[in-house]
Amino acid sequence: MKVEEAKYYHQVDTVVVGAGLAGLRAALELARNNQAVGVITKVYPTRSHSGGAQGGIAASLANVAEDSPELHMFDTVKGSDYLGDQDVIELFVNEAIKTIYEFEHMGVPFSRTEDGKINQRPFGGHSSPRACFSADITGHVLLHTLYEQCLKYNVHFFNEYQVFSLLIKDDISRGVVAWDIRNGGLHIFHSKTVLLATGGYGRAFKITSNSFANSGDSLGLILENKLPLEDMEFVQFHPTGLYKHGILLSEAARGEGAYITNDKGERFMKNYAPEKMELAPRDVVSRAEQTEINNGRGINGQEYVYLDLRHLGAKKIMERLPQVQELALKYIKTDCTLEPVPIQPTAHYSMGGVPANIKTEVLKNGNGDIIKGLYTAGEASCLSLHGANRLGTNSLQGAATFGRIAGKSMSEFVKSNAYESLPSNPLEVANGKISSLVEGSGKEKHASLREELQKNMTKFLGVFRNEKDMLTMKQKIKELQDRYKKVIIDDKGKIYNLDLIEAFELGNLLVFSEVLIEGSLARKESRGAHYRTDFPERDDENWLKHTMAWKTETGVKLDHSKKVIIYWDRYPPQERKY
Amino acid sequence: MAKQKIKLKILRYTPEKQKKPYWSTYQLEVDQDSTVLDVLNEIHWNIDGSLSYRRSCRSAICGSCALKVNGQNILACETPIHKFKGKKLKIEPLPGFPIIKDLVVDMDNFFEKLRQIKPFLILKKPLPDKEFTQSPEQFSEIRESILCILCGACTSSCPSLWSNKDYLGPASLLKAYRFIFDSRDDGAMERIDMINDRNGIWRCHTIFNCMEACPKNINITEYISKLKVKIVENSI
Amino acid sequence: MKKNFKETSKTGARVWLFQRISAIILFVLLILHFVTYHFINKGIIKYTDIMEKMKSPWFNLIQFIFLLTAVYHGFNGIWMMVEDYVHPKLMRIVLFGIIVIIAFCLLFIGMLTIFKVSNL
Repeated sequence: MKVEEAKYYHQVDTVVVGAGLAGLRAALELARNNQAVGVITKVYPTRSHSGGAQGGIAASLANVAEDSPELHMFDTVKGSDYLGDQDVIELFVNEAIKTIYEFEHMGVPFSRTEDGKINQRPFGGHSSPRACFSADITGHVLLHTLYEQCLKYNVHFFNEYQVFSLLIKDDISRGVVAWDIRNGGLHIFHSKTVLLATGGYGRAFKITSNSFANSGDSLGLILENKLPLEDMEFVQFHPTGLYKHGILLSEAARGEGAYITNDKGERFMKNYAPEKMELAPRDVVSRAEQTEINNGRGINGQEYVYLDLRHLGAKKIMERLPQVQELALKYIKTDCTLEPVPIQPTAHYSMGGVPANIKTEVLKNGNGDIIKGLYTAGEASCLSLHGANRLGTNSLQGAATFGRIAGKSMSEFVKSNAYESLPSNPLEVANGKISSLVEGSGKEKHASLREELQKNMTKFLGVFRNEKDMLTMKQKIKELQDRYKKVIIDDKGKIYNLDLIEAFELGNLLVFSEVLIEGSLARKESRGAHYRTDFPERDDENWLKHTMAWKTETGVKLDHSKKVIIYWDRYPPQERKY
Repeated sequence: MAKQKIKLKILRYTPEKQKKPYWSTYQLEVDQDSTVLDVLNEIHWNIDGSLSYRRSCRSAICGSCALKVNGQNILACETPIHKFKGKKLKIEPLPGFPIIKDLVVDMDNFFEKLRQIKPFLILKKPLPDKEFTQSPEQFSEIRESILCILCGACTSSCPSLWSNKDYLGPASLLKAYRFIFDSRDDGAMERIDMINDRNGIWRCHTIFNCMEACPKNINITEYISKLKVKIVENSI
Repeated sequence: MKKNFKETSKTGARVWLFQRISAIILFVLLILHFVTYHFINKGIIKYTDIMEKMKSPWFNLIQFIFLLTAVYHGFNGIWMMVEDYVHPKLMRIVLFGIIVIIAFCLLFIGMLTIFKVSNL
């Protein structure tokens, strides 16, 4: 395989990178308005990890109990540990309702109440049953419905293409370069607008609920273009990951009434969140679990506790939580209707990501300057809607709602802007990456580097963090980055070269992980999902602000001047108790 | 975790190098509770990086990793190797689809067939302000069919497809069922017109392979039969 | 990339329905056949008994329906298999011709037997 000229050149008004909920929703919005859009995705669209979301999608429809957007907003603000930007949250809770009805009209099969309305269930951190659901496959049905709608409106998909570089010059986005995974070869996509919707970065951790595809590709590409990432230190650990596997058992289990118990058989959440018990937000429950485990009260002293569903009865479990039952049975041979299921915290959601304003335009710095034509939505983005901790079911809603808003923003941009010229050598960066992985002289294997990264990230930057651990990890990541330069792949072919894709993804993991570590080291407080044993208190005086981080030649440059947007009269920071 | 030595055969094929697929044998040590995907990862990461396959979510919901192991179509991520106790593993790509490389098959036609049955709600009534009402009973008509993850295991297992590549296949027909039997849909006649075709539903000879292959245990054949009855009622 | 998989013949529903109806008729007649031929008189069948029965026009009508449905059902099944496995148009036409000719031959021979015997 040799470095080569672009095989194809495509000119299309909008390129959407990623075909999860945010990407597809944006593409649909554009296609419905008769705009040309190409979706580049490294997996077939229905394989995207939005489909892994199980429990529900939040909107204050008030179908089963009293509810209002204001209440939804209060819960989200409190859940974010007051780091969420309140203008974004306000827009979000109001648009959420529209998003749901739109979905229903598209044909999403929601579970129903007796009187035929969309059913809603309780969820962690929400003060009213607000999660619209379809059994426990909510993300799956949303993803499939959106994909099908995109087929209806003839959205053009570039299936199994991996974006290798962004074409940004003079703060204007001009397109992307992508590798055709199936046939090999680089393609140039020349576009007026680009949407980055590539999902989260949970793959930096060993125990994670994330799919292999969640390698935070656009994060690596953003850093490479000397642009910042925001709030990367905030990684949500989900309390009910299947022991050892890390795959997700839906929070819907607790929404339906499941218990979490320790070795003594007690529902230990009574010591941590006496009011909400198991339905406290995820960061709270995960810390409680980890504390129990660290104090030797894991089951038989091991690294897990129990999720107990037995009292719900087989009928309810099979009707409302079939996937939970199936996963536990197939992966660890535990029938949850008869036995409790071993669980442990698992890296689940990335609150941080590519910084963007309320119109989803990507930010260049903390002052609100933007990169023209570049947009982001979904888990890849940091708006910041979820602040320091996301509430369950707000992610699907966030991806869909801001996907739609991104579609609208891009549609307007496309109408009033012309194509900008491409940089003089658009393939240089992508070709450089490929040739170093294929023709390099080193002997390192990407698999062993990834294993070391993930193991150590879970160990040193998990639920509980402290300076010593993080400094160790900082050393480690430097070492791994050096070794990455010597990575060489076995597969030199062009056709479906999985080796190449995995090695490329590792490059992204290593770059943004460094930013994650530095951001965590700098933030000397505990807020939401970021908990430091050496600074266990929240510090509103010094830290009610966002982290912006750049990767430079000499290391990571941090900037904490970006203030959190707070409506002081309505939702002032309070102590966060559940 | 106790380790275990295993021997397995994988059907390999690199179109740049070989004219035909060939069997390659591997020997390795894995955890006893490994899944087929764990084994493939182990080979790809530590033995031969050039082995290609599809995988993504690891939790049996994305549908990427459908493969044929010892004659059965399965999802690699959710199938433990001890399911094939005492037997040597024989891993090959899904039958009935063209091979791209190693265990990766071309599913473009599969998705194209899905497009043809108009897999979206067709509405001829005005939209309500809020949601359409649908009773739990009406929802339960389609509850099982929406579990489909489009992994292709069913369509790939269908002898009718092996002999006739233009046959719509069980996955598309199930999707047609999912919409025709959705109480909100007004497009049944359009879809029936599409599937009431010699290459449509009538190539289904009730062989039941699809049901056996389905990793989500959907009663696909039963739903296809319901469709047949509906079509006969409508067209005669 | 868009491809049309349709073959556009709309006869599938009718064929499927007739195949099921003929199956039910065959099933009933087969039981009738077994009962009359193998269970009455403890299964001892004499040539003369049959000849006696075949004098009745009702019996022969049933025999004729049996023959018709069996030939239709059997050859329709074979035709489906041809559609499954044979794709070139010309080949299909040739095979269809052969199937129809054989079917009519068998039908003719069967009818000959029924009516010749009853005329004896």
